[in-house]
Amino acid sequence: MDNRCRALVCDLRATKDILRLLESHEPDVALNAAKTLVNISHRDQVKEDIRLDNGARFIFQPLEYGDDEMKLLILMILLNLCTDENSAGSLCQYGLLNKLMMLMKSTPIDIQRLSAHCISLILDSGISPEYVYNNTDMVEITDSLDYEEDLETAKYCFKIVSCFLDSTFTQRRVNLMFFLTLFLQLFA
Amino acid sequence: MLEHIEKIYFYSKKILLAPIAIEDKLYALQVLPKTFVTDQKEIRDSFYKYQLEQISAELLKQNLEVYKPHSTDLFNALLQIISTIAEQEYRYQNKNVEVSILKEAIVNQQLLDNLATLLHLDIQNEKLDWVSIELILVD
Repeated sequence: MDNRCRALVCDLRATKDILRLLESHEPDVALNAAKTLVNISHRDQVKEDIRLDNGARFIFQPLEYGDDEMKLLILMILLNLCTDENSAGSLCQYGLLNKLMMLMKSTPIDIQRLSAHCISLILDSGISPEYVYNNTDMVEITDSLDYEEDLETAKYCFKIVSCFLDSTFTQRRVNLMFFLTLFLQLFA
Repeated sequence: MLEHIEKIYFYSKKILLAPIAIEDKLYALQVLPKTFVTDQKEIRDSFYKYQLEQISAELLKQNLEVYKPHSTDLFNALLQIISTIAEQEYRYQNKNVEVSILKEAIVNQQLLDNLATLLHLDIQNEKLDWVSIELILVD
């Protein structure tokens, strides 16, 4: 572990500094900072620090510009954070679902799998399925139901679809579509 | 959502027929009863088009001896598919469901008898006792 990270991890309040190291121009420093966060982001205090310090800003940047290894580490951090409704909610406000949908289109299957896992955890955390539905792409999710591409990803996507179907908003949406179609057919 | 349900059925069929462990098919099995979110004929027709009731029934037949009833998610998922089909038929036709629907779904008389025993169904009268079904599923 990078010496700067090792020193900082001793102090939980140092989350803010570790987050800033994610932006380091030295790839090894940023990578070690991410590895450190993977190890500590399950702690409640760290989750709170990330939420209060607008950590999403630092976490999301490597999701867009980092290499595959960095993206995987960031997704592992997100898996730890998304188990909690407050953290997941805060990250969603900064566009987490949008970022995850982008990653589901990525080529490495590991990244797709972790992204799907993350969305299923967000739904488990208590975030409204309607909110998640409105901020994700159902076409992409249903395309990932193919077990031949990756069984684990398919299982997570079935779970996500299941949560959407559980919700009453889906029923309202389907009924609305049905009546709209009927209406159009009548007046065609 | 309607346009996605066809795709859900397509991939469900694929995974249910796949040479993989039955536990890995559970998520797909659990989705199926939930697709009946409405009484829409299109959804029901699509479900039957993919022969999902037959595939589910076949899985039930293959695994009933292995998995103990009431103790596995698998059994509950399969049971729920079959009971959901029957319940939808009930709503759709607005009359008491005939056991023939279950017979059609389960195909095997021995299985039908087993299921009837498990659900405390009175098949002598050729009617389903929905209260019993609900109690079993909740249990």
